[in-house]
Amino acid sequence: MSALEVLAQQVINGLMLGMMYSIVGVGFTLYFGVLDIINFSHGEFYMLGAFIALILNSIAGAAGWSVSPIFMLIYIFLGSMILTGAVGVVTQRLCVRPVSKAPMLISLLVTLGLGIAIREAVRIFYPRGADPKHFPTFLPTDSFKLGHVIIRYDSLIIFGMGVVSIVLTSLVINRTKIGSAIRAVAQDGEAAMMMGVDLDRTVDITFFIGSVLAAVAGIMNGLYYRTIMFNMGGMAGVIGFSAAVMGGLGNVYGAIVGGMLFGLLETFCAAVLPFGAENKRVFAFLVVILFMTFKPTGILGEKVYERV
Amino acid sequence: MDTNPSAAGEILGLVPVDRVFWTDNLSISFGGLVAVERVNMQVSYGEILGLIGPNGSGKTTFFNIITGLYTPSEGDFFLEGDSLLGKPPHMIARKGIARTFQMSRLCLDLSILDNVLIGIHYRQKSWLLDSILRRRRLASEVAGVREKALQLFRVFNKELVDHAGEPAGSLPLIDRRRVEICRAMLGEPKLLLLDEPSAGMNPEEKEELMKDIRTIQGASNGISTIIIEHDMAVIKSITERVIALNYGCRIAEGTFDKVSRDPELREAYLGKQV
Amino acid sequence: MAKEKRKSLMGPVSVLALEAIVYGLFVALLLVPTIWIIAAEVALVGGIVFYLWRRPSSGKRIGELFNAHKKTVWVGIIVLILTTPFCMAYSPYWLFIIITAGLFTIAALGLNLQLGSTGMVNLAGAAFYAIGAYTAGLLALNWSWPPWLTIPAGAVVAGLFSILLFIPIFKTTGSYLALVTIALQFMVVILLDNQEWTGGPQGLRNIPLFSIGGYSFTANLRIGPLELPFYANFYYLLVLIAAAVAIVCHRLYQSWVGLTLSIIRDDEIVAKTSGVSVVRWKMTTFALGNCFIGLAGAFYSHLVGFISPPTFSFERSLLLASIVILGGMDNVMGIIFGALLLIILPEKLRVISDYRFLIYGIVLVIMLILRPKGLFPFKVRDFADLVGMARKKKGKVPWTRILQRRVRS
Repeated sequence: MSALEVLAQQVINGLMLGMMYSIVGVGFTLYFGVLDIINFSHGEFYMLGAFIALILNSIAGAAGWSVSPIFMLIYIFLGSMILTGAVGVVTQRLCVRPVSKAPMLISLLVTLGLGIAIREAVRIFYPRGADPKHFPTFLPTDSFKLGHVIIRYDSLIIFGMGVVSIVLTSLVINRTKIGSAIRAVAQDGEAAMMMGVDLDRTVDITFFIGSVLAAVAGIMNGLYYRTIMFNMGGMAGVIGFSAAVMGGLGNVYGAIVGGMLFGLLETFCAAVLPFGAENKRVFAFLVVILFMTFKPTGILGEKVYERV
Repeated sequence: MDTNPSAAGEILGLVPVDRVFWTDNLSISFGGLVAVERVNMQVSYGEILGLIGPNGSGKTTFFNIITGLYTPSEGDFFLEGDSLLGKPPHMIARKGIARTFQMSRLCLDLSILDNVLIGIHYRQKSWLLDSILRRRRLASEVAGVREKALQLFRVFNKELVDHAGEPAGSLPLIDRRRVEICRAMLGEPKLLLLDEPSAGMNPEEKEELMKDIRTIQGASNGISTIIIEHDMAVIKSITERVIALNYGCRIAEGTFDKVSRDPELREAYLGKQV
Repeated sequence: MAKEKRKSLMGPVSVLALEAIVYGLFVALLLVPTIWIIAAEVALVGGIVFYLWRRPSSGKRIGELFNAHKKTVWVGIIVLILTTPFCMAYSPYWLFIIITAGLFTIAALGLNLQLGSTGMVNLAGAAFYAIGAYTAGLLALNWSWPPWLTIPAGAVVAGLFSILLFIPIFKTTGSYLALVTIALQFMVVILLDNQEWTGGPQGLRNIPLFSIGGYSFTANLRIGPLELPFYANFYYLLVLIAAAVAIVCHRLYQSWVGLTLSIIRDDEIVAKTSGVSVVRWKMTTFALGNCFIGLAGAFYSHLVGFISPPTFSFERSLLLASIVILGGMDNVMGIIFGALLLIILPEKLRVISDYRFLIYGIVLVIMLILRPKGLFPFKVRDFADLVGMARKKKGKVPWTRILQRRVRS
């Protein structure tokens, strides 16, 4: 395999990974932009989305459906998206809204607690929740080759799904009325309220979108790795947060850039550096720390002057 | 634009001894916006200098530069002959420039006394080891400084003395301003910067404030002060000299009467005469 | 005369009685094997809290009582602490849990220095705890260092490690600092997990158990005719260390140091323009706080003799942070209580052990929504003790007159 092909392979793997991280990161950045909170339960919604999809699949199986894989795919995606989104909105109203005015540390911990509760609930109440679960295969499992570079068909499809989600989200944020409401609240909540924006509804919808995105990423993860576990949300959450911060908190495109960056970093470190495989996350986190130190506003963030 | 008469003196090699503070072509821009442009000014020992100008003319930005919070893009500034350019804020504070803030910055959860004592903390000698092991020394320091603070309180408002241990959040606005001024003064600064101290007060409160400032000036052999104000009555009554800024440039300087008649200043505040 | 004597005894006696009752409840909570005791005690405590809420005057009177007889309060507390191992003589397990709570208290006090006093969010507490533990373990295993050297070494190494993080720490604030510490936490644990010299996923085993000057801590403690479980040795040592740390933290709070940290926490700009070298102080508190955390970790490795990466997870960091937040930021007594609560209660609930973390998550959420400032109200710093001490030194005014003056004014 020529060097170029090795490089290409790593880039492809990295982008795949990065896509999933990006989607989680976009959710984080939306929450920060709109409510100025760090929502640490976001990773658990990623897990929840995957598990709900699994449950829906089991229900379909138990009911004896036999339909095409595409139909099943649409069914579990839509079903999980709607249900996870609903859970997101409900928990937001119960747990997050009361502390949205409090210092960020409090909301950080509240969402952490919420995340713990969700994770434990799944572990306890899903039958044999602590074991890894097999995720159904709906996508073609073979791959093709470009020279010596292996590309899986399911990777392509998943990547495509990711692109579609991001494009749709971007369209919603930039072209719809609710999108402008979200952007308005992100800039200045009070001013937005005075302009007639319904703050509560906007926050609800933001959380819905964020949870839906998390669910999508979780299902993508399940389709790609074909296994899910109750604790998959923890790391995903931390990485998603890192992606959002690296790209610039509050900036949707930044989160995408940050996610891709993290995915590429991980893949390259594993492939290129000595002791890379076990320590790939270490290097990636090291980069995050360096970013935070030297460019805390992120790649696409703006420099903000504190008003004295 | 006025010329700076003392600059001539400096060029001639005569170092004036009556200036406690001066700036030299101080400028700063944020992105493309020039907020302060080539400001030359000076403060004499014991002088109260007024700094006026319409909103956005760069007055608070000027304060932020000379307290080290912003780095100027050009120029320099000197306290008693030492250049303070590039020094971090805490060094500048220790050298003797103290300030209050436009939006009153008090730590509302801490006691009034705590808020004020921070003004002189850097002179204290008992730190880590002493706090743990030599409590007596710490105790005498605290008691001494506390007395000083309470004395200052007595000048402004005797009630502050009784409530010194209560959280600062329980104070009304005018007392918060006073506490902030006490905090700035406790360290006996060489230059005191007051940023709109009378904002939000009614005329009686402003009278009281001016009286208090004059009392302090009298009591402490006149601390050199620069005071930013929008209320011309306050300026007229307290200051001996006034500098006016507009769009970051110095456009007028002199006594209040002279400056208030300056046509450029009038235009800045009131707009062009049609 | 007899009546006066009786009256002056009433105060101290009631104080001791109250302390004994609270202690009795605590011991009962631990030793009674059913979980219904929890429900009963919660109901009792809830009832008392409700009563005090309705009649704040009673609460005030109790507070004044304790204030007036400070010496008795402390004597009582010390006696109760010393006798705890005797009460736990037949339940070494609970003694062990109390020791664990003590370790978390020390670590939480360190974290409080960073989080509660200075406002620096450190979610890598478990990582620094691990650094202390592994330092002690490695030194003991590889170079046979005795515990009285390894434990301070653990503290020092944890502190030095903080200094390595100099630049990221002082350049980041708030949630950015949180992220830096989270990244650090994961980095440290992953590294500990895959490096051979740290024992990898198996960790370190057979760390030599405590022995100071020939006295082995693993022998049961004999006091007269009684024999206490060997944990008692660790207990007493830990109590000494914890008390020292608590006193240090309290004294720092009531000093220029505490004042400076509070201002940094509440308003950095004011701190800077008042002459505070924010960078220097942040570094100092971060390092000192981590020293305490490392100290606790080092003690832990000698206590259990076996450490491995899963013990030092991100969840542990969160637990530590919760103790500080729930117990009360910048409040030494509150943190001690918080540590006891958050360590002991889940152990008691082991019966429904599977649901432990779920309940923990839910309780955390509820507590933060209802009482974000912690269980105990914020206590405004009061230099009265110091001022009183200064007056006393002058020799002019005796204690009683100072009290009278304060009461009158």
